[in-house]
Amino acid sequence: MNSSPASVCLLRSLGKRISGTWTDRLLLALVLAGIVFGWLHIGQLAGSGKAMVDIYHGQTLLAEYPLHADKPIHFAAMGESGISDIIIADGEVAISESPCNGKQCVRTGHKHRIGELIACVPNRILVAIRGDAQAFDAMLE
Amino acid sequence: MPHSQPSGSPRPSLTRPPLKELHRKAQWMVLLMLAVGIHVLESALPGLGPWFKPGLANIITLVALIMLGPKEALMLAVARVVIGALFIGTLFTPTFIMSLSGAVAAALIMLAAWRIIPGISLIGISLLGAVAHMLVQFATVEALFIQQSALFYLLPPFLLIAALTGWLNGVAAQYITDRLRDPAPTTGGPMVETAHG
Repeated sequence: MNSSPASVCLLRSLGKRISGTWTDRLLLALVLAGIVFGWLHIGQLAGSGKAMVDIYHGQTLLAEYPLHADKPIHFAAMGESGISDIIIADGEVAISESPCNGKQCVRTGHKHRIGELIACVPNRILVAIRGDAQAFDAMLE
Repeated sequence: MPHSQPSGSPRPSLTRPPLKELHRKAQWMVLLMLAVGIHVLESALPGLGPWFKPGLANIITLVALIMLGPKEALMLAVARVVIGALFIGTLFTPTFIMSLSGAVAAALIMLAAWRIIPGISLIGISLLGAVAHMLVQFATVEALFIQQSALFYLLPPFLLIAALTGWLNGVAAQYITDRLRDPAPTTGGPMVETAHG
């Protein structure tokens, strides 16, 4: 099966359009390098060991629970516009209900890995999973 | 007694602006309406995940930068977010503040890259704009709403997707501006006139 010259020209033209200039490619390489570096660094910040769930309102730590608890845990986090219901069960954490309009925090679903988080920005609630090998400073309400 | 006027000089309020200026303003309005339409449509899409949108309206900002100039592009970026928030119903909410801060930062970075970096195309400009948009959004949330460094756990994957969509948006903007400047020959349709800043 022979590829027609027109299709080859089209592919070359498309490739030329997508690839950008040398400056563009250099910038992309720098951006990707920065992302990889940041990913590794943030992975270290999240810690390791036993997974813990930290629940914040703004800059205040409301509660911390082990992710793998014996029984399901329900926590009502009081935020700016109401209560966000947080459930920790079966090694996963999720926001089941929130007073925000968009409900993006609810749609985030269940999280279970160290370094993952769920945030309700309008209600200023943050649920973060960290490793207990590295603790974070926080103020208790 | 009839009101006397100097001969040959109409009153300023009755003077029609130059056609070229009217043309530029009309082009800006058209681009703004297009950007607002895309912004509102994007808000209705399920998206790749919570918070994240492809930023297709930034394509229009880039087109405005090339076709009309930096000031018009910055005004378009701000106006698009404000009018879009009015339509969506998120004006002055945290979502609006995040969107506005990201859009202004992206526009300023894109203008600076356009002026300063030699050899850059709209693809690279869009890439930098998308990355700046995401970084500033996270910084805004961390500064104003959730003051926890744990928030930055999400930054690397979001930056990766922002870089990808920024690149693709830049490809689209480059194609559109190339065609506006040098449209393909047709069988007799009108030539597209572009205004250069």
